[in-house]
Amino acid sequence: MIQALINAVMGLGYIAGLFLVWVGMEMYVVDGGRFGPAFLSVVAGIALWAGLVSIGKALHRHAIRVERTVRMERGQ
Amino acid sequence: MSIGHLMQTIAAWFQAAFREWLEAAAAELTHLTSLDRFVVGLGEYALLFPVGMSVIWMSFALLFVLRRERRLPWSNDATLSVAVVVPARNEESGIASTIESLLSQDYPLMRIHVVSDASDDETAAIARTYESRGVIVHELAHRHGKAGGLQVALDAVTEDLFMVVDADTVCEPGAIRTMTQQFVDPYVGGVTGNPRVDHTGCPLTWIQSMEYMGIIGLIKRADSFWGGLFTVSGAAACFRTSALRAVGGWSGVSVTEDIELSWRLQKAGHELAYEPRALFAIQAPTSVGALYRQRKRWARGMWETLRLHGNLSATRNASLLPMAAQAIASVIWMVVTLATAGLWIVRAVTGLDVAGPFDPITAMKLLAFTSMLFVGQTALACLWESDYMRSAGRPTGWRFVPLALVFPFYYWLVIVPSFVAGIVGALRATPGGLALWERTARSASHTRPVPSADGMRRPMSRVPQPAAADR
Repeated sequence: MIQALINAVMGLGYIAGLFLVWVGMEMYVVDGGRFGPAFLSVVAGIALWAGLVSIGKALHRHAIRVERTVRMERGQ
Repeated sequence: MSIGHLMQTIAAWFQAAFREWLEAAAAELTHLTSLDRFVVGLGEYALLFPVGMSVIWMSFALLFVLRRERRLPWSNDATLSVAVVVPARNEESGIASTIESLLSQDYPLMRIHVVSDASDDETAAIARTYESRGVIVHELAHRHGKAGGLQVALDAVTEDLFMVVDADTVCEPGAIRTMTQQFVDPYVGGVTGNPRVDHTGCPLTWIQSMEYMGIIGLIKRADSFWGGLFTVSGAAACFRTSALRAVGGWSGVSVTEDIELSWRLQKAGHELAYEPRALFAIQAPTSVGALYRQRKRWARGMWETLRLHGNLSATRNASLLPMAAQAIASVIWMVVTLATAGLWIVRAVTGLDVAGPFDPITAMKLLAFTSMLFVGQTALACLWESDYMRSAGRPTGWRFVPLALVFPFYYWLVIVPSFVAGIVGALRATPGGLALWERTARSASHTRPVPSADGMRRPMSRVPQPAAADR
């Protein structure tokens, strides 16, 4: 249940990151807006993804570490 | 200018940029307010998706190169034993080259197994001539399929690592040793190598060379940064034997056993890693028909895997989330683009004012921009790969970079039809049947001599040389 909640939040985060990248491209390529704000939006989206990747990996490795420790303690 | 004034100017710029961004974001959300606006949004999606994915892949591949690729582990000590398994069915034309390339490897703790899946030709006989050099041959009397054959080998091996090398693949010197390096990380359950097309004089193999280097290699780097892989390469992949056994080994439920196993391993908590330093020469389809069948099989396998393992609500491995999103977004993009093209045709033929985001001229300009972006993306990948290729004595691939300009034609004429046919095939297939392999018609033999232990070329520049005692 907690894992499903974490995944849902992570999923929403990834969608938000995509939205940032999308708006940045739309501003510059389609609307012909200024490069600076558009570029920042893309960078913010990529940074959000990179942050989520780090958090996801850390959580995953923590879960595996706990599981392996428990298994070792049980002598499996 | 005082520091205070400078800070005020920067703050004002960011404020204006944020306001501009908010307006653009609000405009994007209006696409959800009416059907007309939604259709316009879909059209924009069709044209901007390749640009966006290219930017995302390049950014994360660059992060992988800067933060991970230059710090990949290396040790000259061989501590893990490897069972190298060559599954084969009717591979008499290439099996000898594959075995020779394996026998010339410098890794001491390695045993070679050849599994002949009821071959009708001389595959098993050729493999048996190497038994005196330690090669173990498993001859199956009845067809098991590739997954079944690999499962037979998995039941027989005792080594720490289980490596699969296709019977038409040639390992470059040092490839096996390099493939074992990332298993120093206890979380890593599988590693995939860096396959390179052994191109012939056929233009179809040139564009596939470009594709493997500039698109597949780039995506694997980006996926690796996200913490996993959409799939290991079926031609050359290495697994921790205990991890394979823990997930039940090879399954024959999908036509692409490599994609299905990759997802099963990752859902069970194992990490997959990309090893760009381990080069393998693979043969590519040389006819459009063979390429069409190969890509159709890949698409069907992808769809079957998403159907089997796509429920990620409870997975502990969050790296699968962006990869699943990428696959689903690609399928949606393909459908939306075909629909948008259809709308344009309707508009052109009937003169009706059908909604669409861009006029054809603007769309053509955007397509040209996308092609240029692909050239840049391919050049970047070529830059990263050139050290490895040069070290292996292979051409660096720069001459294939301009082919990125024609990639959209190749994509829409060959890849998309095969993709659609593959997904339709997956939807119509009855689940539960045994997936048997069909041999893809490829170039008859490798275009370059098989590397020998005596004639080892200089090692890759980023890879430390093996210790003399290990050779």
